[in-house]
Amino acid sequence: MTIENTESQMRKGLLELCILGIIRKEKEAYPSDIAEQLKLAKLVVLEGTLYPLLTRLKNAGMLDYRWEESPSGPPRKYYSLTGEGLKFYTQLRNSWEELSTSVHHLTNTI
Amino acid sequence: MQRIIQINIGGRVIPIEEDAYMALKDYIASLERQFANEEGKDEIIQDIEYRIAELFGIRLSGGAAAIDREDVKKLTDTLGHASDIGGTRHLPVRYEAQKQQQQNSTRSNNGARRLYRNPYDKMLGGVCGGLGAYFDVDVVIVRLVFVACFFLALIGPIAYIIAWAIIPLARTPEELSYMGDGEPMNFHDIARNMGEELQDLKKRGEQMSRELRDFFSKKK
Repeated sequence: MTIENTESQMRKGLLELCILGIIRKEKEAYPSDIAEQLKLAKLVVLEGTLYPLLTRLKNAGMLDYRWEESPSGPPRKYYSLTGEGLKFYTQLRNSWEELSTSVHHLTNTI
Repeated sequence: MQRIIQINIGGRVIPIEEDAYMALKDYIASLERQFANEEGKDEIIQDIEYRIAELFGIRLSGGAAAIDREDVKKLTDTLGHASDIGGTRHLPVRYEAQKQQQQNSTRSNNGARRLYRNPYDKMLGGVCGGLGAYFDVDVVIVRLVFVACFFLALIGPIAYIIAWAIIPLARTPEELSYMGDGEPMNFHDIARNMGEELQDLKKRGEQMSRELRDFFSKKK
């Protein structure tokens, strides 16, 4: 059991919520944009982590994507939220609020 | 000196140095292993390859003649190693490293000899060839020992079946008591008994052949 391991588990658990949040805010987002935003928010993740996560969310019907030609290379996938994705995000968001209140309360009082 | 080769990745043609290509190939293979059981495996790999092509494209337009090892290293650091990007259904982080170590230790082998069936020196399955090489013994000797063992092993069951056929069963209480009681046998007794038994056997053989003859003639 190491601190890095526990921290990375925490980050992984919240990554889906953060990704959905970014896409909701941007309306449409490209994976490396998402990585950039996460970095700006000091939530450092490896860019490669995003690809399997996005594909899983897309296959679960939470996300949709469209191809866009890029001047600097191959076409890019721009992801957007589906109706179901938005519901999923709202639910996760509420759970997070509750959870963080509980955690905050517990770690402050004990 | 490095050979520069051209690869097609994400629909782009990219010039890359040969050892950098090998490193990249290993990296993508490790990703494929990581996502082997994943439903969207092909899509994930394709997305990552597109991103690799994009990053390499940026590097090349920045003035590099070809992608080298350093670029591949930077790329894998940015994207993350296979074991680190498995997402929620990932294997333990150190899995890849352990596997690597195991492979290395098998290859270097520490000079220990190992027993294998020898595919280049075999009659049936290469067992004797392998054993001969392992124990530094001529294969012919190993084969002879095996053949001898084979025939020796056959003697037991055959002798038992023959004995079963020729030794009579003790049927009466008298015969049962003769079995263990009475004078211990000496050589002469044994020889005499053998003679009697052989006579008996001859008689029984004759009787058997008569019965068989009767049996077959009746059948006709």
